[in-house]
Amino acid sequence: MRWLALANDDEAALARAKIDGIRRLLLGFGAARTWIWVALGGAPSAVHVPVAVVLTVCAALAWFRKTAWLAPWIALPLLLVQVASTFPMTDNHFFLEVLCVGLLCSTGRDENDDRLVLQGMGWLTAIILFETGLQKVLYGLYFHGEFLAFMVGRGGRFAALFDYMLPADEVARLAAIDPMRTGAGPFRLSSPVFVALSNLIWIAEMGLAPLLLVRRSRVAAAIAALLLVVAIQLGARELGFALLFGSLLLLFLPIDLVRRLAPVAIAALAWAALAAWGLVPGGTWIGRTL
Amino acid sequence: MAAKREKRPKDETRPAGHRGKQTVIVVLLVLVAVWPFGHRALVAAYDVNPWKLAGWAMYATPTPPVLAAIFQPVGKGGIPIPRESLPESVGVALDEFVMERHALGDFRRPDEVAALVLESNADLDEVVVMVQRMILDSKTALMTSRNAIYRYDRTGLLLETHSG
Repeated sequence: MRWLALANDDEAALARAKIDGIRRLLLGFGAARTWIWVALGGAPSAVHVPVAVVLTVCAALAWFRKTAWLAPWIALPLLLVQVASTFPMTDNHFFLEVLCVGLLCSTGRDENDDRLVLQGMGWLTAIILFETGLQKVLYGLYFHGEFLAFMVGRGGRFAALFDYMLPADEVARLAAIDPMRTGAGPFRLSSPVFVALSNLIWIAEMGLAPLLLVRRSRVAAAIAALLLVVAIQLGARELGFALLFGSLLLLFLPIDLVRRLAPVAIAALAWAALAAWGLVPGGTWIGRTL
Repeated sequence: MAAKREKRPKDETRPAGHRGKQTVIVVLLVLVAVWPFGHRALVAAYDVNPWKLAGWAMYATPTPPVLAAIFQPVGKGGIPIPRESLPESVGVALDEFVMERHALGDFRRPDEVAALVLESNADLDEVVVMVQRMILDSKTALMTSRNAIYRYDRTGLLLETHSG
């Protein structure tokens, strides 16, 4: 299956470094996420506190050469328990987390399958990036900016992100529309900049995905996709998804950036978990953001 | 005439375990790639939530809250039964139903909500549960609604349902 190699052709040492990095990050993320869930009341503690404890152990195991390969095997069934307990409200980025941990189960004590797992993650990232753009086309609400107009009307972080490029009376018109009333609208804007920006989103998602799989354009496409994720998250504020997807995009770069950044990311995640429990400052911000 | 291309020999240096993992990963990737099309069909046919169930359609369309109301059928119409007049257990069941309905669409019926309402009120011969989801229409950019109506008899049997 030579086409798998389109997503990754790293040398063994680099592949191993990337696997170490993404494994530490993913398992640390899962542990922190679970502790935050319990603290914010999003998960029944009787089940999820023990799960959080074991996932924390898995996150620690990921840092030791002898036990790192085992950590995803222990974590995966627990993540599936979490999927079952949150279903059908399970967030899509949680499915992505589970898929990635599942892929990590294919790594062994040696380096034989590192590149294969990175290829799987690379293709997963490209497929999901493409599909998110394709779904926007299929639902047809980005060609004239309808979806973004709707979100501007709802106020909050999306309005703050986009309303600087719209006349104040247009923003007011959108905000005055009651979306729970049949016939309400129209959620359309004539601003060419706004419409162009709306279309740029799905074009970028669908266009960058295949470029991730071409060696010549891989680095530029990964950086562009990262910037796109950051830009979207300025409005969406789904920091968990941003961290997860951003890390997967970093795997396309020819350096082991994820492994180098993992300690910083995990320190930030640990702070977020402690803050959610009120043990360090920042709990209110965590509750508002996550 | 160009020579026939030789068949590539199987990679005998790779252990069978590696080839097995490769196959599993490929199957997984194909499922991830193909499922969103099935998901789109479920959204269209059964009002499943575009933002859930790994269809990768988050931010493709808005998903306003689902509304559910309970009625006592009278002739061709109905008298709304206020939530405040119902026991707390019904309210809890209704909240759970709305949350799961928001994700699963038509796959989540309000059977237990209807049963609890009927159990709490011996005077009711029938009960109707109406569910509404607002949708942003891509052709008109106006909000439309998709309503589903479930009518149950005294025993909790679903007599009729229609949606549109």
